[in-house]
Amino acid sequence: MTRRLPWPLVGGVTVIYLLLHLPVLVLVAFSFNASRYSLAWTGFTLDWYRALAARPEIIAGLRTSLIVGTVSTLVATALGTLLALGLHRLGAGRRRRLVEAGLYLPVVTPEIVAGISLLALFAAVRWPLGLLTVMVAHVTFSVPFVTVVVLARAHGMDRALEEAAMTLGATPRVTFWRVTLPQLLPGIVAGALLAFTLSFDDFVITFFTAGPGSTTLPLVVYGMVRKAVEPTINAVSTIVLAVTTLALVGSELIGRRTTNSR
Amino acid sequence: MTERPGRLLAPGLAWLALFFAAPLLMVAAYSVMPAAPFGGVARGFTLAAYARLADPLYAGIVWRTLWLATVTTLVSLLLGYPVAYVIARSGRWRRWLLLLVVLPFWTSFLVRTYAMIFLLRDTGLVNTLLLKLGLIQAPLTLLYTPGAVLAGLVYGYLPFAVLPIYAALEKLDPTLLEAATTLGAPPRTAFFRVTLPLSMPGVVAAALLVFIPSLGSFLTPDLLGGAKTSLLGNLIQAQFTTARDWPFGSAASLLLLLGTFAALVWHLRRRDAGPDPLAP
Amino acid sequence: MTLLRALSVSLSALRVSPCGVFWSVPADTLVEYRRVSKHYGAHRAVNAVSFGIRRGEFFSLLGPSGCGKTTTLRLLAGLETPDADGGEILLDGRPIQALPPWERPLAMVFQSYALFPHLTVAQNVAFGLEQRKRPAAEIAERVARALALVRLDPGTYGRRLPGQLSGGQRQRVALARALVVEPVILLLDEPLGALDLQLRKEMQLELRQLNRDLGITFLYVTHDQEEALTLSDRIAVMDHAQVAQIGSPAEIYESPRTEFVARFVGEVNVLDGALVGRPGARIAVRPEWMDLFAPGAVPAGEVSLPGTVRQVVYLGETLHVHVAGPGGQDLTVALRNEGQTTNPIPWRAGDAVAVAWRPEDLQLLEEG
Repeated sequence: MTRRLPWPLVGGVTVIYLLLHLPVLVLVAFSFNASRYSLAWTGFTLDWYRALAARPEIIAGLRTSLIVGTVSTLVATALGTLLALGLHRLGAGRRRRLVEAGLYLPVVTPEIVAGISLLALFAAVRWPLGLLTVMVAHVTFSVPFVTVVVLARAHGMDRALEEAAMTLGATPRVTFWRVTLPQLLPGIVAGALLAFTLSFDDFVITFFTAGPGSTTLPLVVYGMVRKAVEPTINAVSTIVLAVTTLALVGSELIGRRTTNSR
Repeated sequence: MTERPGRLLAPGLAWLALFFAAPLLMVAAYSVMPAAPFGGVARGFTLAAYARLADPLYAGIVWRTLWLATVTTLVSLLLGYPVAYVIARSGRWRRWLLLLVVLPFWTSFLVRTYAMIFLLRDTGLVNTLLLKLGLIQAPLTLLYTPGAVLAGLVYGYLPFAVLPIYAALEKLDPTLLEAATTLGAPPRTAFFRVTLPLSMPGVVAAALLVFIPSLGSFLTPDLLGGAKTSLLGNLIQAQFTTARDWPFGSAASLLLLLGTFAALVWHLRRRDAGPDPLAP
Repeated sequence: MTLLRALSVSLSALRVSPCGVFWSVPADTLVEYRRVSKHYGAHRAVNAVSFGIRRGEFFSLLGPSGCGKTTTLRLLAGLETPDADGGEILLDGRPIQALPPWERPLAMVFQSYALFPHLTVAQNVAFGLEQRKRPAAEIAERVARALALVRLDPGTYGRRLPGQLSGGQRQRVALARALVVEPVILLLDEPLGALDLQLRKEMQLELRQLNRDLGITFLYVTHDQEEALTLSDRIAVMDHAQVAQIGSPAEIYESPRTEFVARFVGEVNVLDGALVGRPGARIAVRPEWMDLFAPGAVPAGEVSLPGTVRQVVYLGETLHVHVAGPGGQDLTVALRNEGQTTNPIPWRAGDAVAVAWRPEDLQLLEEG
């Protein structure tokens, strides 16, 4: 089929693809460059990565990101899964559309507005900014995404499975734990990985809801970028990229296991 | 099966009501209250914040934001459509090409924006290359210009543009094009008179997906634009950090929200109004 | 006393009337539907349906899509509940319409099989027994027996996942899973629909055999009238949420009550009664009950109509002669093929013929 495409078109699109990936590839490449200031390649080195270990704020940032990521993922996954189940039971109709609209509002709201609104809330109730406020914020923007993923999985599930379990004598509780949940599990895991990625990468909302001592890795990187450009930033960025890419690939693969066991 | 949906929906919806809806309402409330001296708000009612928005200085920022978002959208569509088109026609490689487009989108926005800095700065890759090739004598000031912001935004949101257009093209019935060619239309004509019009719903969705986040962008103009290319997002941020004018920041936020919802409503209206040419 | 006995005997011999008025049920009735209704919003899915299913019989619900047969089945399973004033469902004399599905002593085979994808074949079959808290050793033994019953070797298939089985194999596992719990009645919702023709015919015979050998009552839903005729002891033909007729396959086929039943099951000629001296009525005559004669050569005692042959269609086992009857009425006459090369039928397109049948083969149809 590609043979019928004019080569200028294919060429142009290839260039666009390159441009799309070039910046990041360059970034990663130069995290291994021995030269500190110039772009001349003076040799391969892991010095910049080693230097990271000597920077306490980076280690702290990474730890904070992991803690916040894990906790917010757990909460968001639980809430999101319940929402997906509820929506699925709701069937089609006005009520469902209404709930869905409300659910997806956080997704279309600009991050900056979400961030400052949470700041306003925390200030109004005199809740000091810290780890907890960041986690709350992360859960809030992750829930809709988890819901979407789990809901898609619920859609693809044969309703007759639950009915069969019931006719075989399983009460609703048994049906849920032994039939429904195992079916939804790939979707739940995929949703959780997605939530973790969103949390790990988030900057804007975290910026407004973090206090001293709850600086996540993206905030640390931001501070570094504003000060000066140095290869250690490349190294940190590469690590962040690696973590999130792994999580995403994992999410994709697990989500794909839907069709295998049908 | 007999679990009532209400009980399942309650926790999640309660959370969102508390931590999403309520804060927004607070922002709306703050926008009409007077500012307190050290940040926050004081009791009272005033429309001073909105009046300030009309100030030419700030109106200029709003206009610049609208303008930049629009140009970003157009450029993204122009670049995104060919990409979507090629992917749709690429048979076996479809999945991989799609993955390659989507992957950057899912990785950290901050990191990608930093990558742009790394490229565009005076001693960055672009300048170094151009100098080496002898095309320029002195480094170009690429960073901290509107152009840099534009590049950053397009780079950031291009994947958003590709996906909906691809989805629309994929649903297209190939026999329609065959019919066009048997009726005497050369490929170019077939494209402009059949493919393009029928893929319009996807184009509109793509435009929306790029326009809305661009309107509210903060990080890109902050890191790539500098003080001279301040957008609405930066303005809002400043009010809640250095400038400590919360009502003003709230008013600006509501303006941003208004723009976002207006674009959404327009899109939904349009979608529900006319028949979908791609519907079977 | 004898009068009463005669009355009750003749009453029980009557088929249940489609208006749902209920007569006394025979003692071996296992399931009874009493004026059961179910509606969704404005749509009536099941409308005051009444009938009984006897112990051990193979009972089919037959009808076109949307006639309510599946809903009727699901009401018995407990997957749907009747309307508030929507009648009663009795199992062994007890009303069960308020019981949740997991408390009903029945089992169901679904159209899509509904095998649990994350459990092995053996675990699937064991599921119902686990819910009944049987000891592990007993479960293992009964599972093995059930799989052998459906001709799947437990050793080979027990550990496989449903995704690794063919359609026919999955169907058998679904059957084993339902049979292993020894249900009081087995419900089957168009279980053979997804199988190819050959496999379907095989499974039909197997199902029939299982019903006979195990003595378990079967309630079977299908839209395939041939399948219903093949498998059932009795059939309830449903149309638009109501039962049109209940009877044995022979009764349904040879004595259809309404035009709908006559047309739905097999081919039929439906005529205006005026043509045979019964104005205002509709009559049905099956093609194979009709014969063709030269005009005037009709045997005594038979009813006949004049007509002209339009087409002769060769179908292998039979020949269908399409005749244009009086008033343009289209008649189809089925004649046995005794070999067109050795003993051909004498009729050609354009011939004038007399279409005849015996008066007792005429079916008077009811309204509706």
